[in-house]
Amino acid sequence: MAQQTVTIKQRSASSYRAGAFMGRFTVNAVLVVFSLICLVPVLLVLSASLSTETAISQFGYTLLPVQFSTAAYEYILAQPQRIMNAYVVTSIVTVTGTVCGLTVMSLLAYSISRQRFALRKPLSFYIFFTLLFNGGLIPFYLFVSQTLKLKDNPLILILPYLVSVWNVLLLRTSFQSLPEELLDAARIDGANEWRIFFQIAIPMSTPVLATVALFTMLSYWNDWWMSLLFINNKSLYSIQFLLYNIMQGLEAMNATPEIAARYGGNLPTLTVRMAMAFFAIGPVAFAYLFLQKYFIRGITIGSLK
Amino acid sequence: MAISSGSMARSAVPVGSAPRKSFWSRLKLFLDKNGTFMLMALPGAALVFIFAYAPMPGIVIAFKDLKFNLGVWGSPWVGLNNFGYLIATPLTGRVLFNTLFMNTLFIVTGTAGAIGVALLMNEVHGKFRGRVYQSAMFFPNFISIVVVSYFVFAFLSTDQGLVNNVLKSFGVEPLQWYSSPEYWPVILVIVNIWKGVGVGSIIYLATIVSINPEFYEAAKIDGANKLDQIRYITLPLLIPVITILTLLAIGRIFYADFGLFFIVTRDTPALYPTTDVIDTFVFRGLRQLGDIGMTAAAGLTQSVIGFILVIIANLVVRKVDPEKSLF
Amino acid sequence: MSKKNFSRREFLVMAGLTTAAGVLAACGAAATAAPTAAPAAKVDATKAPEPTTAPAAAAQVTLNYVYPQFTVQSPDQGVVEEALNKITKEKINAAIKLTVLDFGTWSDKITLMNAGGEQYDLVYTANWTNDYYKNVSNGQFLPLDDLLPATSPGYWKSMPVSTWNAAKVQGKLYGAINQQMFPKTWGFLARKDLVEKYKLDLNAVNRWPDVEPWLDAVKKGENIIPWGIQPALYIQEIFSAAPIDDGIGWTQVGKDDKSAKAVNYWTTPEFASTWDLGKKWYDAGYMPKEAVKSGDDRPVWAAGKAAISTNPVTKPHGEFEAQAILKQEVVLKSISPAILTTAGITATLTGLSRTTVSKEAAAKWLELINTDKPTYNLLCIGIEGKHWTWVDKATEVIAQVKDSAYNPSTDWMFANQFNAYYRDPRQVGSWDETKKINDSATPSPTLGFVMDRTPVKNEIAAVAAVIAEYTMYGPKAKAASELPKMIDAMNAAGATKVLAEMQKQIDAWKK
Repeated sequence: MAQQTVTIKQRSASSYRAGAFMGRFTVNAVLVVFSLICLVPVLLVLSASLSTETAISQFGYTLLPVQFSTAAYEYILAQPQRIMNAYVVTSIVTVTGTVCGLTVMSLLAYSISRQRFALRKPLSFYIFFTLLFNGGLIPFYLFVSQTLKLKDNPLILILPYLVSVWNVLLLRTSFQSLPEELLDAARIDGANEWRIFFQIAIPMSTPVLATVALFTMLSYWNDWWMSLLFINNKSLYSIQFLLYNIMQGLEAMNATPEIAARYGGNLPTLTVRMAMAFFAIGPVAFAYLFLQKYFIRGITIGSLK
Repeated sequence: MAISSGSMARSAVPVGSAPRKSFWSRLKLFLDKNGTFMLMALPGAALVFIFAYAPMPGIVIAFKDLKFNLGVWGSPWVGLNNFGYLIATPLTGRVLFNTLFMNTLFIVTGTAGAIGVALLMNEVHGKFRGRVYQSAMFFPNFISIVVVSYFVFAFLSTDQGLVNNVLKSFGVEPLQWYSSPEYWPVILVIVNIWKGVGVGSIIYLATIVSINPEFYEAAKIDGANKLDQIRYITLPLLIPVITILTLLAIGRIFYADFGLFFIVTRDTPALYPTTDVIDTFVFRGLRQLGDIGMTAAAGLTQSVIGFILVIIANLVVRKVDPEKSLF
Repeated sequence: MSKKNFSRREFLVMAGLTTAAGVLAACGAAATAAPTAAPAAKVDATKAPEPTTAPAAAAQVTLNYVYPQFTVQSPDQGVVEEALNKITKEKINAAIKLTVLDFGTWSDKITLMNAGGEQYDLVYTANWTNDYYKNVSNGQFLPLDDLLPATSPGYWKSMPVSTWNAAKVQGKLYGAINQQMFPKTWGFLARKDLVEKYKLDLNAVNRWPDVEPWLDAVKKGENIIPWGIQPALYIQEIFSAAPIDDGIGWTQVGKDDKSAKAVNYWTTPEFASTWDLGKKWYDAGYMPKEAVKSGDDRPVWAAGKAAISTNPVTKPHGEFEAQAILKQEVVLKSISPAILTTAGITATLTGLSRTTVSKEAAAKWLELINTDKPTYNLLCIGIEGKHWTWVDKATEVIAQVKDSAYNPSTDWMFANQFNAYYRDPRQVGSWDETKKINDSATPSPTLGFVMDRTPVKNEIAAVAAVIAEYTMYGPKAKAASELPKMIDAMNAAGATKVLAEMQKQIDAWKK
């Protein structure tokens, strides 16, 4: 498959040399500028997280900290085992949720993408409807805590996000664009739908699957809402919920003169907020680098054959 | 829903099957044809049922004066009373307009931006560079909206803002950005693109890289240049994804991004003329009351309007190409 | 607009709501509707155990006490709980379980627990978090009118009946009041060195315009913006009025108005002149161009770039606290009379849940924690010798151990704050002073009145949404001469109707 890309490149290069160069230059220039616009604020966040609060209010945001301070990190890491534990919880939830979610969603999406499935339209509607209408917070809470009895159960961190309407419909669109002739040929060869799904549909859709995997991963990684609703056991706190809690607690402490006075007004609110970005991005950025190869042209084309 | 049951009836009776077969044999035929698909859909459909449909009767809260000790069903009905405040003010028109206008802007610019970046990314041939660009664009998604609001303030504050400092150095009169609502649609669009385009472009890029390269080969032989290829191959093949994502966005068009409109604008009253949207309006009105029934009523209104719009949009799509429609 | 720059506490509530992912539903139902009697047993969603009356020679019960804490749970929480249990088992024949929730998420959590009818006995409640009135309206709390005088006589007698009456809803009491400073005597705090340098005679300052020359001198002389944040200048008490039903925001009653006439303060001449003053100060550059939330001005203070800030001047010697936070020597000056309002009294309460295992045991706990100093201080600051030591036992001054493993700093949350030991020798005697302020404060003509908002809740919401837009600050802010137009808009949204309903309820309440 690598050979194929190479041939494409060579041909295009020979026919449009000058134009292609200008084109590529423009493409890269635009992307470099936009990347910088995206990257610089991240550096500012990092720098701010390593500054003192007073320095920020006096000198504004700078690319390098003016007055270096690790107070924010010390505050967050005051109990390191609590952060570690939250990372473990979130990692397990994220990995399990992404694997199961991807399986469940692609099966569902495949079925409603096939024209020969009589229920595909009503099922699509059934799924889409939930994007718009929901019972609201309190009925959801009562149902989960009283009927399902999933309070303080790690399953509640996973199950509600297994099926995302948005991702299912994205996958459905991708499956719909599979060439029907190819699938028919497989059917004539005696393949049943399961085999077609696993041996043709899945391998031919890796980029979209990787996209959905990424989004699913992000939704698990970034979630604190389920924890807020259903988790009281501190050993089941997810990382985002823990960070959220630390931040909310800080805001509350800052707003209460008795407490703020106890810390001499030194609660590092702003810098802690900045440092949280680091804790939130770190591991997921790592996973992202791994998934990224699926979005780069030339990797998956070969699997067609 | 009449629409879907109609289409179900149409396809459920296989064309050309003998009309007088018994119910059971028809069921068996149906299961033979659809059983595998039904099994495939089962786990997902079941989860949707449990976590979305089972609590859904709670929608009645919008018509109730909820009392915890009486429970959802025991609480008194209040008819449409919870909806009153949504139409009671002279602001409603402005709020509706802002919500629709800003969300339409976001859908258009967000889609165009994401496709644009995806097309550019697709032309990057160095793998390493590609990864660097993509990673960089991915980061903003992780910066909390509160931190974003700090940066926007650092840019735009009157006395120390970066933008005003630049303006001053060029001898231009500095602006009080937080008192000038006319600029905020643009500012919010920029923030929205900045935050979402990196992730948004991945969807389109994933579709683009799945396009069969033979199409481009053939086009090149016919003498098509890059722009022709984009126009006649890439964009047409992106239309199904664009359609689906737009339909989904239309469904949510009456829900505004609270973080963007409330936190990034710092809830500045002077900016309300262009930035006050349903979610911020409802939040302001109910901050003191915290009435669950009224909150539910606002949510239900947003859902119903979104639902009507999406049904209309879907009908239009169906007229053009039934297979690209949502349902 | 006193609501525009939210107070710190309001901001807390807001922060909680904001983060609830747009699901505002996290709060209770309409404020003050008549609470329904006993929990209906047949209700399916809430299978709350009926409160049981403890039989004579009862088996020991365990009381579940729920409250929020700011810090991550104090490491010694368990140790203190154990020590408390020794006392409670001996004195009130009950065990106590402390259920501590994180402050940032607790108001959502407790609302859900209530919706689910989950078991607990006592809970922290207030008019600003875990809303007392919503809880009452939801039938979450049991009435205390007969229970407290019978079971907690010492506690009951520690406050006059008029104070207890102020926390009543529709004639019944549902909250055990934590005694603290009730009236807010609004005013400002200012940097001491600048007050002296530019000769602000605090004794001569009685209203906002009196500080204007000083503001000007500070701005010119120090080249700083005197107000650290845009101040909320119109606060009802400063103009000798009391807010009626604080949550609504724009209503007031004259402090000596025996007829208790509800007024929209936007229509008062005092408001119009304050509007002009605020506009003038904004244009003169006495305050920042943009609003920042209160608390965000601390670094500005620490950097010495602010000189004055509005302040509720909540208790004697509050300047020590302010000094620690702002890192500047400050002076406090109150410019409002001490007025006792409903909101001042319902600012911190303990509620008795409909799901309690024994209301008698819970009442005994309230008696113990409100009257027994050692027990109360055990809950506030922990164990003597381990978490704190005596500095002077005679005047009840203590010193907390550095980095104490138990340090909630929320004395006001648990019970009568006047029983707290002093943490600073300079504060000795301030509880007595505070009690004097409580006793001598003018009761608002509507003290104890709370509105049943149900009949006009749509109008209240609509007016709140409309007036948020009107502000005296900003380059395009309208002049006071345009106030009538704004008032018309308020009335179009239903302000008149709200006022009429309020008056109707006040008149009925007065009888």
